[in-house]
Amino acid sequence: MRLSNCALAPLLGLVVMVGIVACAPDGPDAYSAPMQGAVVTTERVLPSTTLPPEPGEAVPPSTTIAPAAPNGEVLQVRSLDNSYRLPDVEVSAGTEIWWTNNGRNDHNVLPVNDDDAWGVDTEDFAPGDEYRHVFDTPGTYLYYCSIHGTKAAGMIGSVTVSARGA
Amino acid sequence: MKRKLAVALAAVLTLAACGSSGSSGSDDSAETTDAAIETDEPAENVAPVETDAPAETDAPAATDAPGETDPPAGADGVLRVPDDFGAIQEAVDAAAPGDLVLVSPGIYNEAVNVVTDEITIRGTDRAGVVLDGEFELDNGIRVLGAKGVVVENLTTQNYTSNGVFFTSAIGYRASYVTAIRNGDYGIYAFDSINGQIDNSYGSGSPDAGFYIGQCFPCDSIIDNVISEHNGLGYSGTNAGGNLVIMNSTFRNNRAGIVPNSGSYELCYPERDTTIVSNIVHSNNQADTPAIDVAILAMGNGILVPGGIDNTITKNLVFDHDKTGIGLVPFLEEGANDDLPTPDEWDVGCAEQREEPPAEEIPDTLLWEAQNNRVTLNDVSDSRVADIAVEGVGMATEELGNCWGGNIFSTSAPQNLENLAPCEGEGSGDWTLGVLNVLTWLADIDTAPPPVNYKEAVIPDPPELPNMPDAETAPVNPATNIVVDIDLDAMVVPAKPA
Repeated sequence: MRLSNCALAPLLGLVVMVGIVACAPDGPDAYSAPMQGAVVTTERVLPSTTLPPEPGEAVPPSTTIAPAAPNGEVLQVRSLDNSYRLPDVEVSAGTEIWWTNNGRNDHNVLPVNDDDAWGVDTEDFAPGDEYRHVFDTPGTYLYYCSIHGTKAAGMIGSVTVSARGA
Repeated sequence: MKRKLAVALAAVLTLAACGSSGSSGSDDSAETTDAAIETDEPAENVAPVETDAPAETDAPAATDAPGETDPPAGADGVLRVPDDFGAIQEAVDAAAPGDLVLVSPGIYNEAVNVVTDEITIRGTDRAGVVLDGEFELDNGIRVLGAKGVVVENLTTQNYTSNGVFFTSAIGYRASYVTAIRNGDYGIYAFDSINGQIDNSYGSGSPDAGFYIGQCFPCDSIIDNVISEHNGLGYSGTNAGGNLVIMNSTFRNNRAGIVPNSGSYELCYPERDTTIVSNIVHSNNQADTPAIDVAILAMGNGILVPGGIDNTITKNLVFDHDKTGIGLVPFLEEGANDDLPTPDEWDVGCAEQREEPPAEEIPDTLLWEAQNNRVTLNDVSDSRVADIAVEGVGMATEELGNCWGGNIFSTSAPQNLENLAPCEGEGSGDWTLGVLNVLTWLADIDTAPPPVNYKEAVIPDPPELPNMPDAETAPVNPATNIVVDIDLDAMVVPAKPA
């Protein structure tokens, strides 16, 4: 929990209520509205081939399948304090993962594979911030929050991307 | 009237759900920095020699037998810093389960990560072994998933996040630790169970001096700590289940002990915390660092926003601008799930984390304080009410809280122990002298702003004892923490002089 930007500004009567709404990350709808085409899985057990690697170990995505175009599907992963919910998701290629910082702490989303070009750092992922990335190539993408975890423990997650129609 | 109250209270408590400015600047600086050890007395860092063998840290003697060298550092299970290792992190990385990392006095500008089970990091002098983040490093010591790790007899200060941070730890202990002026918490145990924090001190943090969160059952204890000049003395979001806070002092914070519920962490709601035999006083401190919740909770000794099934007993509570012991609702904006139903209150943390959130999530959640027992406390000198309760979404009388055997002068509503006794049937008028949190709004209007934790004026810590025999005491990894408190044997503490 940290001090809010807006905790002290709107403190008069009904103005308080207005100020509160303004504090919400992107307005309540951003987090409460059902997402069109969302694919949610409750499966948390990683496939045997995707056990968390040793720190620094790269996890190469498949290179045998051509990248897919965005498929219009969006899946939200909430960054709570201090875990991703749900931490391990499975989607088809072309799905956009939408990370939202719904906690009160700063977080980040960093790929375990240092060569990957996606992810969001702390300064752009304060409470209320969001980050989106379309995974267009099948593979398993591991990520973590460096504030509350390491590459292999703590606040970690994975996106397993399968070929469309697989 | 009831509706107006609900709206107003919602306004007050919803502020707590606002996001962070991130001003304390936790960055991704999890990597350990090069240690810069500052010590003026390196000669005293040589470990006492208790054998006839030359000290390992002495210059190697000339020998004709190259094979007969000293054993490697740490071969005896004691890894000395800086004698054997230049930095605490180096010793920690070299340590095996059961080893002791023994740190001599000096200033260590390190952020230490621990991933090895059952190691002990111990300072030889509590005040003299100082881990200092210089407002750049995030955590003094971060224990990540390692079991049974112990931190003893040292000071952590000036970290942007936490002095000591246990996360996903099964078995942990922090003893004789001083945590000063850290950007989030002094000592922070998250998603960790079977833990103990004892004989420690937390001061100058905007969130809480001590925090245990996201665990159920926690099977953990805070015993004999002092927490002062923080935003909150203790905060515990979604923690509980054989969780005990006892024999401790929470004073001169904005608010004292504040267990709370919220869906911004898992394992909700907060429930089944026992708060016993503590001294809680003068938590009206206006010049502390403070998160939003601390500002809103200011002036309360023990405040339970949305907590369930807690036992608050035999505490000495005095000198508070609002309530001595208050049970209030918490309205969470930007919810991440729907409210758990009563039949879900006993669901363990491990099980809950496997479940996806509700398909339809409301904008807000109203966490009511329910089924709490407030007994045998000595509460006095509260400017609003010594003991108090308020419901919003539910009628106050239907919340299931009870009171009995407390020493107090004022309550809101009036005659609270007659309205809802823990023994027998209650009677009376619940509408007389209600808490009326509306009045808190006026206080918020003039609430003292938070002070940057880097700049807040906090007192020097009191004389704090060293761990006995720190140089020689055997290690005791935190693999055997058992929390089994005999409440009947506990007493209300005497008032300090």
